[in-house]
Amino acid sequence: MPLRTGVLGKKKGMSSIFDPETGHRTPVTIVQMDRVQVVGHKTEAKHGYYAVQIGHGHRSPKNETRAMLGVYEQVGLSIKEEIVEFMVKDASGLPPIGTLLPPSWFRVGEFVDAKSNCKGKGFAGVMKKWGMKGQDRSHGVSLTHRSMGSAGQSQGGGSRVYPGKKMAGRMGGQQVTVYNCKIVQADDANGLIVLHGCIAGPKGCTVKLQDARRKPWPDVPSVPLELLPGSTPQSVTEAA
Amino acid sequence: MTLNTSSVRPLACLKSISRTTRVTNTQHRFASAGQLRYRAPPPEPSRKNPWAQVPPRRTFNIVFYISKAKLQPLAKHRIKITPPPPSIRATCPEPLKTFNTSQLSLLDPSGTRTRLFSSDYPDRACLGDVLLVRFKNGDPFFGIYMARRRQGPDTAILLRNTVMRTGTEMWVKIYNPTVVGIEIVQRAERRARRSRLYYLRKPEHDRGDLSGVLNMYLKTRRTLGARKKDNKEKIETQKAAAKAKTLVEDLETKPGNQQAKPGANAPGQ
Repeated sequence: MPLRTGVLGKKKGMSSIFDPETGHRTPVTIVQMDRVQVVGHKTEAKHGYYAVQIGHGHRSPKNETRAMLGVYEQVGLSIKEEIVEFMVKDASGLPPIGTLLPPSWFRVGEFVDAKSNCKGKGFAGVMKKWGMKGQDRSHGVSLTHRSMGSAGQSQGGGSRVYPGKKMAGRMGGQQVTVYNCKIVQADDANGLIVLHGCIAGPKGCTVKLQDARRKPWPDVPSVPLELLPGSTPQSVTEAA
Repeated sequence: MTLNTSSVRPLACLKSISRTTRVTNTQHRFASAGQLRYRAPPPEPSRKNPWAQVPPRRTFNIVFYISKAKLQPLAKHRIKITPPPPSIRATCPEPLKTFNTSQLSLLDPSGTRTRLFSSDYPDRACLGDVLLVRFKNGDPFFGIYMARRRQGPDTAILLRNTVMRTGTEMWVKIYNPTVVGIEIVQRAERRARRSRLYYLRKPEHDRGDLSGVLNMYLKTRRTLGARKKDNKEKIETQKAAAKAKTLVEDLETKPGNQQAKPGANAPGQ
C-alpha cells in the first residue's frame, strides 16, 4: 500500500526530449495538473481503510448535484470536476483537507504508476480484440474470413461453450495501468508533469498518478511541510 | 387551463363548472386548512330544527390535516459555493505547445534549423531538393528530400539516396543535437506537387545514386572560394563549429570525398 497519496492530471499529448550529448531521444507524455486538492479522507475507524479523496479541475455549480454541493460546502472547497480516491497505508499519509498538490509532489527521477482509461474501440471482432488468426482468404471459406473458428469441443467438452470464451465484443475503454513511469520533469509554473514513455487513453483523459508499487517507496515525507495550509516558506526553512 | 369553456358551449358546461368549483374548494381548503383540525360538535337537535343533527353539507367530505409548516413553501437552504482557486490553464492553456517551445529553445536557440524548414521563408529547403546532413559522429548522409513530419522537437525529414547500389532512406530528426548541419546541395527543378514524394521509390522515378551531385556541389563551392565567404557566416555556437570542423577533417581524410571547407558546416546555408 502506498505511503502517500497520488495526484490527478490530464493527458495533454506526447513530445520528445533529446539528450544534448548523445542525441538520444526520449519519448515523453505531458500531463497537466489543474487545481489538484485534497477533498476528503477515508479512515479505518469509519470506513475500514485509509484513503485520500483528491479532486481536480472545476465544475460549474449548476452542473453538480445538490448532494455533492453540500459535500463541498462542508469541506469549504470549490466544486471539483472529479473526485478520486487514493488508498494509503495509514493516517500519516492523509494531508489536511484543502491542501493543493503541485506537480513537484513527485520529484524528477521518481517512478509512478499511471492509471487511465484507454481508448474505446467499440464492438470489435476477435481478430482485433484477441488477436486471433481469422480464417483463410480462400480454400472454400465464405464470408467468415475474420471470424473465430470453433468455440470449443464437441460432445467431449460437454457440448457447451465454456465461460470466458474469447469472442467478439466491446473492446477498450477500461482502465489501464502503466507501471513504473519515470518522472522526467515537474513544472510547477505550468502545472506540468512530464512522464517517460506513453500512457493509455486519448488526449484530455484523466490520469491517476501514484508512487510506483513495484519500486521502493520514495524517501519523502508523506505530507511535506511546505504543503500544509498556513505554512510559510520561512517556517519550512526553520523546520528544515 | 380550459376551465371556463361554458361560454363556448352553454349547454355542455356542467363538467367545466364542477371543475371550477373543485378548484375553488381546493383553494379554500388550503386557505383554511389550519382551522379544519377542529370541528365543532353538531348542535343538539331541537324541534325547530330537526336537521341540526345532520352534519352540514360540505362540498368535500374528506378532511385534510395539513400543518401550516407544510403549506408554506420550504425556505430553500442556500448552499454556499466556494470560488475556485486560480486555474493553471489560464497561465498555460496549451501545455504541449509550451513544452515544445521550451524544448526547441534549447535544441535550436538561434532558430536556424526551424527557418530552414519553415514555410515562411523563401530560402527554405523544399521537397525534391538534395540535402546533405552532417552528424556529430558518423558519416554524413545526403539524399533527396522526400517527406517531412512536423511534430515540434520530433520534426523529421526523409532522405533517399542509392548507396552501394541499394536504395536507402533515412528519417533524420532535424532538432537532434547530433545533427551538426543541414545543407542544400541541389535545388529541385520544379516545385513538387506532392507533400510526400513516395513515387521516387518507383524504378521509373528513382533518382539513383546522387554522389555525382554532391561532388559537383562541393567542387563548385571550392572554386567559388567558399572559405572566405563562409568564415563570415554566422555559426550557431562555437562548440558546434569546432565539432563540425573536426568532422570535416574526417571527411577530407576519407577517399572519394572532395575537400570541404570548415565553415561550410553552418546549417541552413
